[in-house]
Amino acid sequence: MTELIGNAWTGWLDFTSGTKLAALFLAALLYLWLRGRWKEQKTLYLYSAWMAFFCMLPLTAALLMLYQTRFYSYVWLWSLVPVTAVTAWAVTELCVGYLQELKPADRKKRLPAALLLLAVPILCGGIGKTDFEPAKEREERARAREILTEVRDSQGGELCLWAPREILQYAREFDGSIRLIYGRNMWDAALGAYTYDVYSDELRELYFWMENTDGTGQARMKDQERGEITLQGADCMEEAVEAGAECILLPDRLERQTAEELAQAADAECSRLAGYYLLTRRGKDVE
Amino acid sequence: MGVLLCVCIILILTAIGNGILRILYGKKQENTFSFADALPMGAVAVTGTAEAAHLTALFAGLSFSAAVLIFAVLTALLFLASLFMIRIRRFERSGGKPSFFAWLFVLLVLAQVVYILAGRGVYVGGDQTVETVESFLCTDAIYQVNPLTGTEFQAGMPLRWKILCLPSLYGALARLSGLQASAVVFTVIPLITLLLCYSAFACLGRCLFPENRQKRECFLAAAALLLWAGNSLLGADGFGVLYCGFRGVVIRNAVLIPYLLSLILRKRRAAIWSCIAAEACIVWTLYGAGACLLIYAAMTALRLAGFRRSRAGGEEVS
Repeated sequence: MTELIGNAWTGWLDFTSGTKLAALFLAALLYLWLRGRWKEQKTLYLYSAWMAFFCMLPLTAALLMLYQTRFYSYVWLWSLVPVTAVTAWAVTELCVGYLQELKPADRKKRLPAALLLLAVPILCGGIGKTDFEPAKEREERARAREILTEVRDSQGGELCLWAPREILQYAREFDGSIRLIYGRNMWDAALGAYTYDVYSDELRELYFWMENTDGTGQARMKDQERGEITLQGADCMEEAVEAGAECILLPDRLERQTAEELAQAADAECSRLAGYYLLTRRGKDVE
Repeated sequence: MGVLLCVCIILILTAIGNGILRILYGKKQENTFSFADALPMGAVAVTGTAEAAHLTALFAGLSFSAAVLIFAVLTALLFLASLFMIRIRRFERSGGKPSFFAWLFVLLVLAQVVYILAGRGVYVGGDQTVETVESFLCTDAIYQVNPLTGTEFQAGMPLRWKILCLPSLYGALARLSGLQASAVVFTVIPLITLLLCYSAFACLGRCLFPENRQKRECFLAAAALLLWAGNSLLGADGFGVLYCGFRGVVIRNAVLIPYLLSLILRKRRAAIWSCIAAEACIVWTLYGAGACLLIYAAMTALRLAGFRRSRAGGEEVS
């Protein structure tokens, strides 16, 4: 429970730090109350106000988080509050209702005033400043698709792939026949809820090595039990082959000679592919 | 092709929604619903057919192709039944030209449609829908392999995930249309979610401002602006609709909840319960108890409390 309350508090801070939509919503509630408009839809207004209050208060927020199951984080709690609907209601009352009541002499000011009022939500949001980078994600996906097309075309039939994260995360959405030795749930903890399966320490080490190897094929990893250990590329290749990898993409930062040595360790052919080393296991059909 | 599929789906949903509303509320109460009601109600009904097909295939051990067939037959039957139920109504044209807000709304929605069609980034953090759809299509089976790796499950997966029908629904649309799973999940469905979202807000607008068309238009324009404004915050309606409109939680937040609010304000119980059931089919809830049920319970409690207070006040006065 203490953990949930802590999550609720940090969640609230995160929710309010990026944009001012929560502040705008509270201002909307205040406006509807002061102008007496809330009386026209009392139930909706009271529900929104109370639910927003419960979502802000860490204790009640923690209880609501229990209700929505622990799978969803704090931010999804605000699904219960009709933020968009109530804010749009207040903006409408302000833009149409209030401005219509202006004196005839001030009517020319209506349109510019309405436009300025409509600009407020935009200024309270953060257009172009997202929690993730859409443009970067789009480029990454397009590049991964090009590489995966080449990999698939160069291999006969189905394949089991091991590759850096920027390629691996798009492999299964690109082609469901590509198998992976580990999936996106290796680094996206939220995806762990979809399965009871867990990854072995060996697979976790393979992931660490792939993302952190230096030019000579070594990666230093901190382990809680063993302290700092050095993962050797050749050992990782053998582990990967044992895990079923038939096709391995190695990052460009590896030296050419190292890549060839690793290919030998994996009993594979080494070739270059769009900034990666492509290791194809001998015995696998190559078109 | 994707846009054509969208148009077909919208038409089918509208027809089905109209038919369902006629069945639920008959001729007498038909006028309390607008044209905008048909789309979300159609979506709720199709969610039901998808869930039926998904559960049948899952528990009977049928192939995914069989699930697609069941879904197609059920939806076609529902569509045909709805066609018999539909009464073509002449929609009253309210006097006057569309206001500035109506044009602003159209402009904002068109910009959002173009943004989605232009292949904006897609947020897939914490979600495996597209991989699940791909694995259904590739293996022709439901949850036989781990969607994230393509290998067999070692310890299985929670039943609460297995019973959710969205991957089967999207997979069926991909199979029936011949489109790639990623095109259906990342483009077609978010476009439909966007349109469903505005239909739901239009219904809510009619409840909030029944007599004032200009206010309704302004309400929709403000909602569209707020969706743009919320595109930077994970969990906000705008972020969901623009970057991950295929997720169950986004459909719930942007479509089911605004529509549910409009139904609660109109006291339409049967339709309210269908929204609650639809949520249980698409989102991991607390044994079926999700956001829609909580909202309905809370608003009903507030209404009853208000009714009692007003009655007590009336007695005092008298």
